[in-house]
This record gives sequence, C-alpha cells and structure tokens, in this order.
Amino acid sequence: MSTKLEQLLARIDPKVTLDSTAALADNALNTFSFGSGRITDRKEFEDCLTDFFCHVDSNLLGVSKSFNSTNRDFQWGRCSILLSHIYGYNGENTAFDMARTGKAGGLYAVLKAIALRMAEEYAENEIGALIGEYWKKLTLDEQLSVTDEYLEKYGYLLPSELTEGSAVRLRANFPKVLAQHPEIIRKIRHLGM
Amino acid sequence: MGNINTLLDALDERTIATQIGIPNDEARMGYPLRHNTVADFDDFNLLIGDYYNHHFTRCVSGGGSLSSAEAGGRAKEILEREYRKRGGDIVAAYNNAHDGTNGGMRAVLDIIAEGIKAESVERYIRDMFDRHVAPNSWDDKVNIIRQFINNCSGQLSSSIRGSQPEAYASNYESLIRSYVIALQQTSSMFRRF
Repeated sequence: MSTKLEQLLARIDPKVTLDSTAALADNALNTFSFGSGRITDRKEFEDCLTDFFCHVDSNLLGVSKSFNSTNRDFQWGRCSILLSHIYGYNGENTAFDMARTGKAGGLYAVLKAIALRMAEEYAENEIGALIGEYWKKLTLDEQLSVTDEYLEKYGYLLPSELTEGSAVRLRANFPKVLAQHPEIIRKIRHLGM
Repeated sequence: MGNINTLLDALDERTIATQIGIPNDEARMGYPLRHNTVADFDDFNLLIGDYYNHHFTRCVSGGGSLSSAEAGGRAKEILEREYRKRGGDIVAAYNNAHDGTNGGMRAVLDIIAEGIKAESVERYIRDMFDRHVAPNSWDDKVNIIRQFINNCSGQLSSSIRGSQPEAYASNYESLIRSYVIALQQTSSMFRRF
C-alpha cells in the first residue's frame, strides 16, 4: 500500500511530467512545416512564430485542431512574452535578429528554444497544480509527517544545508522542494546518458 | 598579398552564418521526422546514416551521396565525439533515441547537423586564411600581421609590439582567430539590447 506521498511522487515522476511534455514538444518540432531557414521580414517572422507557437500549444495540450484560428494577435502576445523569458526583456528583437542573420543558430534555434521552454512551463504548471492540490488536503500533522517521510527516503539527495539540524529550511519550504523533485530525479536517471 | 579587412569581413560571424550556418540549418529543417524514437539499433543506424546523407548531399557534396556504411560511420563519429563531452557515448545516443528522452531522435539529428555545420565552418575559415595568407610564405604572414596590428591596435593589448610584426607572424592564425572570437563574444553581449 503506497503512502499519500508516494502516490504524489508517482504522479509528478519526470517520466509522466517533464519527459512526456518534452516528447510532445519534440513531436511538434518534428512535424512543423518549416519554410526558409532565414526570415528578413518582421511581419513574416511574427506569422511564422505565431504559427509555430500555436502548433506547439496544440501538441502539448493534445488537441488535434490548432489554435491558429483563434485570435492571432493574442497568440503572438503570448509568444512575445515567452521570448522575453528566453532572451531577456528585448527577446522579440533578439529572436528576430537571430532569424534574419542566422547568428547564434538562427531561426531553427529560436523555434527549438520556444518549443522546449513551452514544454518546461507546461510541465512546471502541471507539477505545481498537483502539489498544490495534494498539500492543501493534508492536515498540519500530516504535513509534518510527510516531510519526515520525504527526508527519510530522499534526504540523501538534498544539500546538507537543507537537512542539517532538524531540517527547518526543508520543512519551511517543503512544497518548493517537492516541485524540484522531478528535476532532481530526472538528472539522476540521465547520469552518463 | 592578402588584405586584413577582407579577411576580417570573411570571418565575420554574420558572413559565416550566411555562407554556412543558414544552408546547414535549412538542411536540418528540411528533414521531418515521423517518429521521435527508434525500435532497435539497426533502425537507429539506418536513420542516422540516412540523415547524414541528406545533409551531406545538400550542403557538402552538392548532390553526390555516400554509401550507407560511410554515412552511418561518419554520423557515429560525430555522435561519439559530442556525447563523450557530456560523459556518454554512442550507446547513450541510442538510448535517448530509443526511449525518446533528452530530445529523442530529434536531438540526435540536431547533434549530427551541428557537427556537420561546425566542420564546414572550420573548413571555410581555413580556406579564407589560406586565400589571404599562403601558409608557406613568411612574407605573407608578416604582412597580414602588420596590417592587423595597424588596423586593430586600439583593441589590442598594449604589450603587443607594433614595430615588430615578425615576432607574431608564425602565430598569425591563432592571433586573428582570437580577435574574431572576442568580437563575437562582445556582439553576443549586445544582442539582448
């Protein structure tokens, strides 16, 4: 009989969260109809990225119909925000410069970065929602006991600063530690790969 | 006698991207994948060889393809080299392609594409140097270094003795390459503004 914590950890396991969303983003990259490897016109650039953004969005959400038909200005706005997360506050211009000059990997590198960042964000949202739902259903006593259970099973993976003494820092930030758990496990599983 | 300005223009990041980077990116973008995983090692071998030939005929040979054994062998050399840097080997590449992890087959093909591109860039740079400076001509080497020091003295270390270009002539290539790399690093810092 698995504990509530084990059930949660199974639901946020990297195989069903990080890896599976990354696979969907890879599939989106593999199936997008790329045109030229270089775009010098700003409007054409925005159209291409909006098409790509909608294509990845549809793949990540598992819907067969692309969101392309919905408000394209809205979708471009979302894409633009994503570009600023990837390349900094002037992300749109940085990405356009890469696409028109071919520098730093060019257009393909921009599209790849978009797909991978979208996958990361979807996975983080999913993990965050599952942890939030799990955490709020626990009583205070249960919250303390699952922290002990986690320490016993996975404490060896954590830095000693978090676990020293009575592990106060871990206890105070346990939902945040849980949110990092899939990434920690993924890195360990991929050692030497 | 070669001119330092035409050599620096030929080695400019944007020129290299236009001449080499974009055609190579387009070759990668022009190879859609129907599945991001492979069933077994034979499948993997066939696919990487087929991709290598696709990229090679489009960007390197201008049409002539390699035997499947030669193409597969070259693809594996690139993968071995790249995965070794990450602490893995060809088996790690196969495992990723088989399981769809770490980008699956998409990432494996991206690595091969980047490897072919890097080799082409290196050959292009070598050719540009040789067109401007005959490697067997001491006079050419002294002349290009003299021009280099005169034109770029403002950005060079004060320890470089401008009156003695002969002192640096045998290292002309590594000096100019270092300068070009430094310029690229500076431009990437400004790219986000």
